[in-house]
Amino acid sequence: MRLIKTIIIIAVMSCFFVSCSTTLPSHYPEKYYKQNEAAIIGIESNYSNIYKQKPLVIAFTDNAFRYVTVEMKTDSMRYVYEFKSTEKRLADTLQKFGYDVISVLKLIKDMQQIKCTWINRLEYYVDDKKQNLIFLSIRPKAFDVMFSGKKYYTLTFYSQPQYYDSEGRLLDKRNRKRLRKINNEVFWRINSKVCYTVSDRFR
Amino acid sequence: MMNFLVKYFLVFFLCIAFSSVSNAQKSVSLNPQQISALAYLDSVGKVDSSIYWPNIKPKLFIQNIRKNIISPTFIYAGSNTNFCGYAALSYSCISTYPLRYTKFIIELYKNGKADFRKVHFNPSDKVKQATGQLKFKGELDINHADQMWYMSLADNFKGYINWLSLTYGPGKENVLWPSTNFAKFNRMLRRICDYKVDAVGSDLIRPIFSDITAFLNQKLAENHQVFLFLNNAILHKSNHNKVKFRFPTHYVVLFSITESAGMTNLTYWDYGFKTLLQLPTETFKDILFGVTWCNKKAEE
Repeated sequence: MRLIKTIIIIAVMSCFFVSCSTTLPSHYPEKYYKQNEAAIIGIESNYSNIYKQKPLVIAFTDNAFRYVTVEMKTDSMRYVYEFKSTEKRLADTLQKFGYDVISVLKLIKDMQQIKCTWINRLEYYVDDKKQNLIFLSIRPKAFDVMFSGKKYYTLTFYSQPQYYDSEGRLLDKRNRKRLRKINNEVFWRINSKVCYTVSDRFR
Repeated sequence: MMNFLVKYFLVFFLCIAFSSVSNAQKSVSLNPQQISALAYLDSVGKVDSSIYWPNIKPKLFIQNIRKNIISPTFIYAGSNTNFCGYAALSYSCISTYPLRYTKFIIELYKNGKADFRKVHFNPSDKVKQATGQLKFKGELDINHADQMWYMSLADNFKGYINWLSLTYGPGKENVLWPSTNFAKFNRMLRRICDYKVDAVGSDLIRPIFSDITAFLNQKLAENHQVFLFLNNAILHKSNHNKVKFRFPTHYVVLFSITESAGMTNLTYWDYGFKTLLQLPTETFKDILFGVTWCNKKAEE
């Protein structure tokens, strides 16, 4: 009798843990995007403008979003510094490297508000021509589910409309029967130029 | 009118003078080995498509080799791949032996197999088929010679870490298949670059130094090429998990190190760039698992 009880308890606990790790609604990212569209587009657009003037990568490496890592590139060097987001040294450094300090500080603040952990631009090539896409990773509260490995919602912004299959999965441009995987992840449609994946890492 | 003409000619001559100085600098910056390698590459001229490497585009291939000879600093391991060990080795190897590299890579392209010193390369058909098709790796997408070089190195050199993934399959460039443990990295340096290699550290246990900054500065001052084996999960965080794997995954080429007020400033090469990184000294000690220093032999 005791053995049966133990087995039942273990089975119930296992079901609980499994359900905890899989309770995210499947359309959550699309819903999240629509709810926060203005803020997300604002961040992407501000970042694009900053990057056009000077390359920059921003990441938050702590859970509380207090510390920001800034990667600044010149022609010959990449400089990586970590600051407290409220530190005066941050603005001084941005100024020293010739960034638009007001725009970058606004970007950092906006990122903190929607729990955006990382923003970067990736160069890729289609028919040997250089294209760019912007990566933006977000860690919404709803993703803080116990035992869930998938914690980040990574959005990609393309400059051209992309191809998707009937299930909304991103396709390779040249071979439309093949899924376009980035870092081994399948991406899903939000709109013609924006798609997402859910991942266990933000970059 | 006269004044205007004088000014005009002055500006004109200054432009010519600056442009000739800049051209001179460009040519001066190439060493004799680089000039020989470029001359060899020019003698090869245009190459046809290779039956062995069907997805390599000849134009991109030659363009990539030329760029590597002129500017090895821009050698790029690709975004989210596990090629960093090969890239660090290539940075050193191509800087030191550009002619040998050029002859080797052309032969490998034309014949599907080639020898680099005593190392025989004859990559598998799967590797040959996939080379030229790696996508979303940044500039590596169009660097077809680099794709061929990294994939061939990964296919040829195996360490215990590769035992779980010995054969190539699509997407495996991002996971264990090309991974490089510390002993494998040092073995590659010895066999490919023919350096006298010394190392301290391991894949799991961190080395103990009384003063790491002084130690590394001494090696640099003795004109060694110094490589560091680091835990990238802390150096380049990609999640917010409190529990981090305590093992190293990343290789960089060290240029300088200074320490002040508990902070370490590292200047190193990786991912096609020189990087200046500032981090707490305690963190640096935590992430450093291996140091390799080599005596570069005289250029050939």
